[in-house]
Amino acid sequence: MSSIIELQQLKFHWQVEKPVLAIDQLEVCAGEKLFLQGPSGCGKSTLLNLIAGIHKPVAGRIAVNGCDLNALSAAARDRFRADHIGLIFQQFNLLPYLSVQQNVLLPCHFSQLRREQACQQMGSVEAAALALLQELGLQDYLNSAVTDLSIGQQQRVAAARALIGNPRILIADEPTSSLDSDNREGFIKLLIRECDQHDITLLFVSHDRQLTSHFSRIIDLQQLNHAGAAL
Amino acid sequence: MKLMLGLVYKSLFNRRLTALMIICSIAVSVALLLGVEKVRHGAKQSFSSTIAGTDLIVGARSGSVQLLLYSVFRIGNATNNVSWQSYQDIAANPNVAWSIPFSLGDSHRGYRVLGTTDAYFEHYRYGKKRPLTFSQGAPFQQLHDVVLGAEVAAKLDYHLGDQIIIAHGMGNTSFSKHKDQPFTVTGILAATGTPVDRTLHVSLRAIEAIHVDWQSGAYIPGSGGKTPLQERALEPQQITAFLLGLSSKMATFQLQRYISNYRAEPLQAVLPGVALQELWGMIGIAEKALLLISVFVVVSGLFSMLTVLLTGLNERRRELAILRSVGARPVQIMLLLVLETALLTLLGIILGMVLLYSGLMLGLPWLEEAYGLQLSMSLPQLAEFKLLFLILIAGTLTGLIPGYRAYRYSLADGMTVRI
Repeated sequence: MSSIIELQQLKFHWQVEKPVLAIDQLEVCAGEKLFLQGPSGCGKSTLLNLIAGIHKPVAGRIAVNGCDLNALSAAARDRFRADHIGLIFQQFNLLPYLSVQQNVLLPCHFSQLRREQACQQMGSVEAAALALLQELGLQDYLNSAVTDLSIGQQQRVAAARALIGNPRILIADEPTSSLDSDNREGFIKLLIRECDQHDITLLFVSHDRQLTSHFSRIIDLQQLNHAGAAL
Repeated sequence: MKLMLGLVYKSLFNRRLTALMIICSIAVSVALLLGVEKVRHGAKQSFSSTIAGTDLIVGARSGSVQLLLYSVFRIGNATNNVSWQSYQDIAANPNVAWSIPFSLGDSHRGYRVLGTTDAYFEHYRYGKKRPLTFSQGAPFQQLHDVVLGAEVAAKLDYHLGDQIIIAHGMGNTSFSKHKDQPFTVTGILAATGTPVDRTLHVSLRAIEAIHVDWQSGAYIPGSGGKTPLQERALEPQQITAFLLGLSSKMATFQLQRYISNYRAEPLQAVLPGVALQELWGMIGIAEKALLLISVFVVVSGLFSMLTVLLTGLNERRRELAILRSVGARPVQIMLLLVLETALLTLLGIILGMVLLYSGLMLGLPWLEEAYGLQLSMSLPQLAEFKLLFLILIAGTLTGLIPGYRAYRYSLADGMTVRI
C-alpha cells in the first residue's frame, strides 16, 4: 500500500525555546485505521493542524496524499484541506444556525472536488448527503435544527459532513469523548465501516486506550514526539 | 459569495436580538443625520423665503444685513430714519409698481408694532410668493385698529375685539405706555412661519397719533396741542424703512443706484435675496455645528456596532473554527464579518429611512404650523444618497476591525478551539 501521510524530521514550535513537536518519521498507509494516542498537551492538536495544513512546520517534510504541503501557499493548503481532509472534533462540530442537511453540505461549498465527487456518486450533493445520513441512521432529521439533536446524533452529523464527497483522509480528534460508552462503541464501528466502504484513511486521536481494539495500528504520540526530551 | 451571504444571513438571524439592536442604533443615527440634513435644508429654504416678491428694501444708510434685520426680521433698531419726503419721492418713481412703508419702534409685550399701510396686506409676499391671509377679521380701518400676527394672537390669547395698549419703545416691561390710546383687534393673520407672525400691525397714522403728545422721547400730556386726533392729518414725518416692488426687474439695479446716490439724505437699497444670503452665511455656522453633531451620532452608532461585534466575536471562535475546518480560508472568514457589518449597516440605513419618512409624514403639518419650517416630503436627494453611501462605506470599513480579528483568530486557532 502506498503511504498517504508522510512525516520526516518534522519540527514545530511557536517560540524557539519551547519546541512543541519533533517527529523523526511517521508514515501512514492509504486505507489504514490509525489510532493516535497520547495525553493532552503532548502535541496532538498541533500534529493534526500540521497534517491538515493549517500550520506550516518549522522544519522537516510533510507530505499528504503525495503532495508536499511545504511547497503550497496558505491558500493552496486551505484548498487542499477542503478537498482531501474531513474533520470531526470532540464537540460542537456543527453550526447551530444551519439545518442538519446544510451542515453536511458545507464542505461541498468550499471544495469543488468534493462537490463533483458527491455528484458523481449520487447524482447531486443533496442525494449524497441523504445517503450518508441514511447510513448513519439520521434520515429523519434532514431538516431538523442541529440543536434539537442529542450529542451522539450531532457527532454522527459531523461524521456525515466529514465523509461527504469522499475525502482521502478522515481526521477524528477525540470525537467520542463526550459520548457515553454504548454510544462510543457504536460511533467508532460506524466510523470505521464508513471509512472502509468509501476507502478513506482514518486518523483517530484519543487518550482513551479502551478504544484501541478497533484499530489496525496504534501509535503513542508521546513516544513518537521527542520535543520534550530535547529540553 | 452567495454562500457567504447565506451564512451571514443565517448567522445574524441566529443572533437576531443583538442584530436588531445594532440595526436600531444605526437606524436612529441615520434618521437623525438625515433629519438634521432635511431640517437644515428646510431652514435655509424657509429662511431665504422669509420675504419674497420684494425687489428692494430701502432704509437709512448702514449695512445691508442690519437693514434686513430690523426691517424684515424685526431684530435690532434702525440707526436712522427715512424722511417721508424721500419715501414719497422714490415711491413715485415710474419704475416702482408698489411700495410698503415701515414704521417701527413701539412694541406690545415684547412683540414689535409695525406701522404700515394697506399696501402691506396687498403686496407683501413670503415663501413661494404667498400673500398674507387673514384667519379672522380684516385689515385695519379705523385709526386705533390693530392686526395681529398669528403667534401674537395665539401666545397672548387675543381675539377679535380685544383692547390692547401699545408700549413706547421696546422691552417687555416698558414703563412708558400709550395708555391713553387703546387699540382694538380687528384682524388676525394666518400663520406664515416668518417674523410677520410676531408682529402687530397698525396704520402709519396710528403711529403718529400715539406720539402726538411725545416730545423728544418723553410723554408730556397736552404738548401736542388740543386738536382732536380725528381732525388731524397725522401725516408721518419719518418712517423706518420701506419695501419696493418694481414694474420691471430690469430696473432693479438702476433704481438701486439711484437710491444710493440720493441727494436729499443718505439712503441705501438692498436686494433681499443678496442680503439674506449674506445673513445666512453668518448664522450658517450653527447649521454646520448641527450637521457635525449628527455626524458624530452616526460615528457613535458605528462604534456601538463595533463594540457589540467585537464582544461577540470571542463566543464565535468555535463557529469560525468549524468554517475553517470545512475549508473556509482566513480571508473568507474576514469577508464573512465585513459582509455582516455591511448588511447590518444597510438594514440600519433602510430602517432609518423608514423611521425618518414616516416621522416626517406624521410631523410635517405640525412642523410647518408651529415653526414655519417647510420641509419637502420629496424622495431623498442625490446629496442624501451620497451621505447614505458614505455611511454604508464607513459601516463596511468598520467591519474590517472584527474581520481582521477573526482572521487572526482563525490563523492562530486553526480548527481547534476548545470551549
